[in-house]
Amino acid sequence: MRYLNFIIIVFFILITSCEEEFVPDEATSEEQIVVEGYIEDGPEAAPPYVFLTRTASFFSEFSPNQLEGLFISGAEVFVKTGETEFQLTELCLADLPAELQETAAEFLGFNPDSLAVNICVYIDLSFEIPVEQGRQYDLRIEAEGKTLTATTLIPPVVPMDSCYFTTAPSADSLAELRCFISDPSAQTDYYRYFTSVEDQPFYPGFNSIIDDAFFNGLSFEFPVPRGQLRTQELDPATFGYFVKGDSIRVKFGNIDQAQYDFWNTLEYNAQSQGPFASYTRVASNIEGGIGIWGGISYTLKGMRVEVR
Amino acid sequence: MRIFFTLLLIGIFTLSYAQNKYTLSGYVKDAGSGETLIAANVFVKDQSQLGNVTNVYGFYSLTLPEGEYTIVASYLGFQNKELRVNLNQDTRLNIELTEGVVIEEVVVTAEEKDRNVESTEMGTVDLLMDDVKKLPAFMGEVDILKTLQLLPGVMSAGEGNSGFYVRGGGPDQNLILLDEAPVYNTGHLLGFFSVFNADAIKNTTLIKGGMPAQYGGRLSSVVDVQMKEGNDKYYAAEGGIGLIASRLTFEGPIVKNKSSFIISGRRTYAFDIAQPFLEGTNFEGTNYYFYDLNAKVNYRFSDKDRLFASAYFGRDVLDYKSNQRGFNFKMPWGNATTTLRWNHLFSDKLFMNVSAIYNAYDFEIEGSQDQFTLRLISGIEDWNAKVDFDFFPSVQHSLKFGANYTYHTFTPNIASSESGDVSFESGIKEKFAHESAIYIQDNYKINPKLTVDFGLRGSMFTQVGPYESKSENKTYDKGEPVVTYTGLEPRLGAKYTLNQAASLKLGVTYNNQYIHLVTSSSGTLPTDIWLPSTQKVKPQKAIQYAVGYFQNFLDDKYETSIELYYKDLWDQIEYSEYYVPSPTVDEEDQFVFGRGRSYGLELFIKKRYGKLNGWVGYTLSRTTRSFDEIQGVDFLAKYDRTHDLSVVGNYQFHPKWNLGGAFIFGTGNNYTPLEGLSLIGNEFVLVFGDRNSVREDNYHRIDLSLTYDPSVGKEKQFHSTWTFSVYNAYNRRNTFLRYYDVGINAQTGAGEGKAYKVSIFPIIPSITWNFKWKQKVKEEKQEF
Repeated sequence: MRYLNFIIIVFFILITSCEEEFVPDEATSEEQIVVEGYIEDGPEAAPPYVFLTRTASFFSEFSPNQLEGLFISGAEVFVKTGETEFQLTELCLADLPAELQETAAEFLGFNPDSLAVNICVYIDLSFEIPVEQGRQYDLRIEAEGKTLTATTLIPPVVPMDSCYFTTAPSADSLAELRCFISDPSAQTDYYRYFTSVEDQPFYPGFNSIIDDAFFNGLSFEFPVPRGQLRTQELDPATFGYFVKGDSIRVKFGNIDQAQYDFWNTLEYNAQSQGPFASYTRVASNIEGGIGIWGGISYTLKGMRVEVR
Repeated sequence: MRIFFTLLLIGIFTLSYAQNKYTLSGYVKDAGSGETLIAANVFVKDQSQLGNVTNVYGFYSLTLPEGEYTIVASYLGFQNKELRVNLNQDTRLNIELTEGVVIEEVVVTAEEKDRNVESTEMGTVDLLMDDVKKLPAFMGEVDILKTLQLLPGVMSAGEGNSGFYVRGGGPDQNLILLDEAPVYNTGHLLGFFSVFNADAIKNTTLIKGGMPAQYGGRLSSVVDVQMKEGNDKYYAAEGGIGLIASRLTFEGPIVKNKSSFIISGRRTYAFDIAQPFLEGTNFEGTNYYFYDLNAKVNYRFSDKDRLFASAYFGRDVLDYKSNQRGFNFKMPWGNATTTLRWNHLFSDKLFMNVSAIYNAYDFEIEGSQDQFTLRLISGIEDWNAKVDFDFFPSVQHSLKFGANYTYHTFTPNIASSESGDVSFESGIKEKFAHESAIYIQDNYKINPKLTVDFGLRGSMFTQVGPYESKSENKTYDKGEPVVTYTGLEPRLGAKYTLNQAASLKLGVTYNNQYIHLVTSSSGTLPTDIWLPSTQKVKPQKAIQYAVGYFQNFLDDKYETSIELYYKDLWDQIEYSEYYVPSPTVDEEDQFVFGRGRSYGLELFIKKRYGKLNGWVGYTLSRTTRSFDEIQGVDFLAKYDRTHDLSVVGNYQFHPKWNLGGAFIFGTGNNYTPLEGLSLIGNEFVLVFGDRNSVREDNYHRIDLSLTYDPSVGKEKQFHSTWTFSVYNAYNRRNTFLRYYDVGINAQTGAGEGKAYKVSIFPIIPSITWNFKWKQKVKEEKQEF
């Protein structure tokens, strides 16, 4: 339904429309600090980590240097759970030995082959923070004279049941993935998923989140489109499908409502433009900045793309 | 309030029991078609204050002391008629006026009162269809709502859009009536065309200022559209063939001079023609069209009773197929209205109309891909009953009073889906409500110079079950009241005549609005959803103060006015800053509430007749909103437009050729700018700045039309004209939307971000062939 107005617009307006490029006015307001931090419970989970960046203005040209300059160094990042507070360690990829850089980049969701900048992250290198479902985690950041705070929870995981493939209507070599879950009726559950193909990083789907409003307490079958970065070329004939014969992994997790709201608004923000779907702000859970501090519990399923 | 009523009653009774007075009453009609004329003037020659205007059914009533009078009936575009009347008993006098050539100045005598100066109403405009049809039309489709946008205080909702904002109010604050039935969604094709087929329309009245008490339920304006009744003398047809649509109207008597009918239709065919080009493509089978059907019959049982039945049905249908992805959907949407009316004359002074009305707007989409199907419905349905009285106790008083009741059914987005054998439903349910009102309004001519309109409207709105209240955690049964709101809405208008050609007016209007449409878009969309006031959503309220100076020059050849208004609005509704449409979330849970203000100055100069006629309308205004949950400080509403100018002209440079033109200029719409980018999830995400803090470039364009009438002045059975029109004649690229393309790779830092502005309508020429046919008739004397 989110695309409804978009479809109508594309259908009618592009018939006569004419577009020209323009350079937006320079941003007049202050830079903001952007937080992206996760605390994960599941197989192969990374230890808790936080990226700290600044907002960038919308320049028409960008460069690796500018990208690198967005990362904030020298901040103090703390995670508190129960009565104990732990400090995260700042780690930049360039500080690591070459053989470790690749593993670390993949761990953080970057593709090591194309990564051209020195990514820095604040991470629990000591593996001291107890990661448990049902537990609350408070984040506190001291950076550039500002204090930022946030709170999240790792909700209990609802495991994915079985999955199967069907042949895509557009090509015999492609397949669509469909999976089942049995949703518990006791509470509202919020889900987010990612897929990985042939050991590449996990990418979330374009619509990576769903709540159980449609199927609370039911066993539910739903399509799981292949995740990809929004910056990648989108081919309508292959979008969302998997290539038969590939081996893939599906990461299927539970998040809290604040994180659901964050991704829900972010994904809508990324997809909707124009007067028929006016702007939507991203619902951050960070006090003093923008971004997300999110807990997730997940199950992981590996499979080969085959239609039975 | 008590003082108000006491004064009202004293005024009425002292004057209605005077001695030796008789009543002259009847209908004013078009001699050619038998159509009644709305708001025609009937008055005593040389004493224009002894007069009245016909009501919406063409009825007038004048109570005068016994004596001999010369009665004048006038209506713009028609020749005045003078009749000698010896009033020594109550007299019924039906008057037929003959259409005159307006450009001949002889037609308009100095006697003719001009409503502009004489009436107490402010900000009220009657649109004559003949005038509307002379103006340039977008793609050749004549559109009353777009003509209204050329008036001061009325602003277009967007490029080519029939949606409009009146004096800083949202599109849902306009009450749009078609034969008394509210039309909830007035746009075809995303609002580029309105649902009103000009061939079926008799009269359109816009009230943007002091809304009289018989209207209510909306804050900003009333657009009262009356369908033609049908020619009761002979059969006639008219129609046209245009670039995208064709029209055909047929009308005539059922029983001559007693009963008539009209049926009118319009349909687009642009995409039907395109079908062969889609064959073999991914989109084969995709189609879009819209159509309108209007029908009306009336029957005059006697001089005292008349029955009307009218109906409208319109649909847009989009059939979308993407064969490559096995995806298709069908999406029909549209309005239906039915109105049954009974006019009854209790006496020469008391006119009654009883109406039963059904109206509905509904939207549906049914789509499927593989074994997954989704169906979504939304809409609103009303059952409405009303009774209205016009009471003319004396020449000094014209009273209107009545009551109405509506039962609303609101269907928000109700989604259901099936995946294989399993089906699901969203938890969102229909909502139900009763809305009712009583009103009284007196137009009191205190003396020849001062006239005052007092009005009072009492309104009530009750949301009823079935309903599950989240705030109370309670389930309401069918019909059980959930929440009730009431309102007392006083209306006051006054006119002081400075001299025969100038007057000063003021008005104060207080309104409640119980049903709401909240939209994130600028115009009307098929997916727009009307919602009731509930425990969470309070009724919207507004008070408007207006003053105006009205002056006519050169025997009413020029009409001018200056109006100032200030408007305060409460309980305004916007979507939250974090709004994401979802079929599973109740819309009202995504609303935020706040205040609004609007003030402005409107100038209007009109040359009413002559070879060159037309008008200039200019508005200077400011409209703000303040919402705690949106920035917490005042921001400009999206309805804000500092300058809005329309220059409209018609030039009859040759008896067979008429040139029409319209120049439109407006301050650019405001929008929320992109402020920066944030890096999240290995991607750049848009960060927006302050709400509506930046403006688009100014909007302007010229539209032109040229009408060729080869058989002008000849009495022919078949008459046709050609209209050539050009929209946006100098091909101005007005920004319609802007979008951002962030092509920066967050891993390599390579790439660039691009911003685009899109304009949708370049220069668009069109050609339309229109025709009229009428049955041959023998000249005969017609009686009512």
